Amino acid sequence: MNHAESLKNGSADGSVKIPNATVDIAGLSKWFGDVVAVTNVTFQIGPGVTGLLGPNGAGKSTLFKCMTGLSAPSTGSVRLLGRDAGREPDVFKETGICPDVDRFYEEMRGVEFITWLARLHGFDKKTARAAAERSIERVGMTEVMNKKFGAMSKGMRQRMKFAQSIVHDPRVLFLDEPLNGMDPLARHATVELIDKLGREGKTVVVSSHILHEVDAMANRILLLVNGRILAEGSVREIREAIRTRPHRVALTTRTPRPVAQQLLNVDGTLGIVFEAADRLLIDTSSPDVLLGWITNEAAEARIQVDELALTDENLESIFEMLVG
Amino acid sequence: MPIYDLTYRGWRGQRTRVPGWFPILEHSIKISFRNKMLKGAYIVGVLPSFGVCIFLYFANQQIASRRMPISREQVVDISRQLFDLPQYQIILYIQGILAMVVAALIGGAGISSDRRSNALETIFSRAVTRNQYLLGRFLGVVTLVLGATLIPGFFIWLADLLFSADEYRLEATLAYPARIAIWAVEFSVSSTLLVLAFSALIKRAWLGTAAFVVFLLVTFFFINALASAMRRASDGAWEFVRGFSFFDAQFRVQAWILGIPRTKLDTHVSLTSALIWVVALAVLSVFVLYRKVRPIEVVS
Amino acid sequence: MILELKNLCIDYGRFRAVHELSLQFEGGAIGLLGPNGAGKSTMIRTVLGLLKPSSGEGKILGLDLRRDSVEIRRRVGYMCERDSYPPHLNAVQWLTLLGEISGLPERAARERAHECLWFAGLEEARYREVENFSVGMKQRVKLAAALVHGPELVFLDEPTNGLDPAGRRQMLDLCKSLHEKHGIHTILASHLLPDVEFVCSQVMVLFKGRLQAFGPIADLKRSEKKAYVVRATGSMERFVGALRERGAVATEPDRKGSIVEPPVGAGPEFIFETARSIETSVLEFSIFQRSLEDVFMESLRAGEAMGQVIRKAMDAPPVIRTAGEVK
Repeated sequence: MNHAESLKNGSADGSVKIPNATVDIAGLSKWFGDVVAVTNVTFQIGPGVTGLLGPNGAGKSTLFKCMTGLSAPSTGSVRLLGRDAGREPDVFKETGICPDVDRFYEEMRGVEFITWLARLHGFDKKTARAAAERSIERVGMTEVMNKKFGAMSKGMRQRMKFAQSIVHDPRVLFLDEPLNGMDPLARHATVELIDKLGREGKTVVVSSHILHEVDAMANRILLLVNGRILAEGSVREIREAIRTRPHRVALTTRTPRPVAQQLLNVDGTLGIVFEAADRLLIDTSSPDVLLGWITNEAAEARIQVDELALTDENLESIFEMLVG
Repeated sequence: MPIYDLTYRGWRGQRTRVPGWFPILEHSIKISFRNKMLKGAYIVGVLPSFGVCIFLYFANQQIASRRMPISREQVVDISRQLFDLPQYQIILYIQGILAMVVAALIGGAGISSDRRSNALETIFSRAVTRNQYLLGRFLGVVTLVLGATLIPGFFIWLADLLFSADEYRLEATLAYPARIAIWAVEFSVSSTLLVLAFSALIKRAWLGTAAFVVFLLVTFFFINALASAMRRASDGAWEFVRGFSFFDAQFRVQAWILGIPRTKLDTHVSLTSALIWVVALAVLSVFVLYRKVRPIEVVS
Repeated sequence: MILELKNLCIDYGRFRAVHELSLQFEGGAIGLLGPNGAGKSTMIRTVLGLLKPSSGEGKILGLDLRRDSVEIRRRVGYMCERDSYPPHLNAVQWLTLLGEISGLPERAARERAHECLWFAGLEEARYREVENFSVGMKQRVKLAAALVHGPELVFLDEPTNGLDPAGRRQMLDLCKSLHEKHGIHTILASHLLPDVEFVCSQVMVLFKGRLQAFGPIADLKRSEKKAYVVRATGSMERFVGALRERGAVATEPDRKGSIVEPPVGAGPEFIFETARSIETSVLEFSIFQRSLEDVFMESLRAGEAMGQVIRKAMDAPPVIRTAGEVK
């Protein structure tokens, strides 16, 4: 994998600076005995939804724990909302955490549990109950809020966990695999809710393995591999930075062979593959020229386009290119 | 030159007629002997009976080497006093308790770990019914307990025959093997069922074993305390109560199966209540097993 | 006919989990969709012969659900959702046991255990205890276990749970190859619609114990509306403005682009012409069809009382005060 050199940064220094950053991690490392989970990472996160991605064992959970104050970094600093999290733990009152572990007091009712947590955040009894009910309503669990955790499905528990993390209306929200175990309805609603929270100006850091869902909610991606940041930025930016790979355009047309012949004369064409009887995959070094040519030809009705797509400008293919 | 696809191929061979419980039985036994601790416990459990064999040899040598000439009746008398049914019973009983410990260790790990690790979901999605699964698990433990009671029982009987100073010992003890076998079956079936029931009740293997042991000891001490309290108050009834301690009940039933006359018995346990308790525990265990081991667990 | 159900009802006590389910599945790969509690697991368990239907009839691989339940499980494979393996066994031992239970002779069972582990990509780890496997390897063991007895039909319940993107793709490739290359009919239950779309060509949607949609995915996705999904390089707002100016109906652009209906009489070249006229080029272009998610949502909406299911409560006002302000 030799993309790292073509990326803007592969290690701690020279990270992308973000104005009004709410999460600021500098030189953070975390090791447990011989196990090194996170190695000297530096990054900033601003308001909006940021996706934290990486293969299993890349150190995402550890990084989450460090960012949320559940464990102290071995070296480096965590600044949240401009305050040093190590020195002023009070800042954690303005952060919400949705951890990935599925542990509850099985005998407790949903609303009781969240009210109790809200009281731990310093709410008085009445406000806590109201806040709990409001956050439960936001995740769409009002009907089942009086159920005991033991009787809830995985998806319901997951959403209760989510409700718990927003009960005190935090400005910074950390969500570790929040969609795990949810059914399509709940996934859809939760993705929308996260998107909405991001647009409200909250800082939301969300990790997930389901890339198309991350694609649907996150504006910015942090790709963590082997305890280090491999890439950061929007999908578009990251794709642009991978210069070693040609762009790939898929074109479905009823006359693939004549079109392919003409494509050979278009600047930047590197290769053409006949993927199916009517589908061409075109590798190009300058997608703008190719797309301009196709637009022009189609406008003149010289070729008939049934489908046109950039196959590698999505998170899935970028992840594949960078991580394999 | 052909190149073959090695990725996957179906299986269209002849299926065996072996019922579903057999692989489970085989697996239970294999697993028990793979564990070094269990293997050790099993061997240690069988050892005492060999000690008894050696003791018999030397004791009979002693009788044979007496200087004073004695009549045949006297020889029979001495050898019977030295070793007969009551001694058989005590030794086999100790052997049985050791076998039960083995059963608790082996059986305790069986169903509970299958339930805890959710292996049951996969197992029940195969061509095996609940009855077959339970039968396989049950036979797996019973076989081991039977081995740990039957083998020592026959060895002691053989040693008794071979070393006895009494020439007509074979005639006198001809019924013993059958009685020992019946007892071994009774004992292993009832203790295995109880062990498995505890294993099914509690999902952690060692906790299940611990609960089983605690149950045995608590009933033993509690029932005996109750019985001795009643003894002062009334006559007869306390013997009935004592039958509800598993240890005492088993001992009484064993004496009955081995055919030891009441007069030679110095335990005060009523046979009726002992039998009731042994059968009731077995029925209860089967009930628990059926309640707890199910292909489908419905969570409300 | 691989699976044939006629008016099947299944009850748990007084709760009716599946209502009068009738369907005919002719084989291939089919996705089983539905929200939690829709009756998916109940259906799978009934079809495996673990639950007796209260009424109605069903046949799987030509075997009767009520009478031949053991034979059914001999010929059907099942990969369950949760982890499922006994402690202290290595992968080969576990699969051999499962093969033997299904009636394979011991040697055949052992051979097949190795073959299936190879197929699932676990050849290096096969002598290690399953307990110590990673999440991805545990999923693969479950897949291999579902295949060890050479089933003609497999049920896969959430096979990509907990897998990272690379693991997920490999698992999906394996699932897809089951039917495409090896002729094993596949029923895939998943909450991830793209997974279903990748592996299966057909789909059935269950909701509240009733069948809401059933058929080839391509048919269900087809839309009568003659429209195109378009994305252009440069500003989408400008492009959509130009399209509207020239008489097309175009939706507000989102991440996927804008849905454009050209004016009457105009073909797709209209869109390219418009793009050229404002000196931009078309980046993505496809004939509009409903997504599987749309199909899913609509089939549920057609179900009943959707107001309770689709959460409208998302727009509730947030708690304004932060914890620090409350005394």
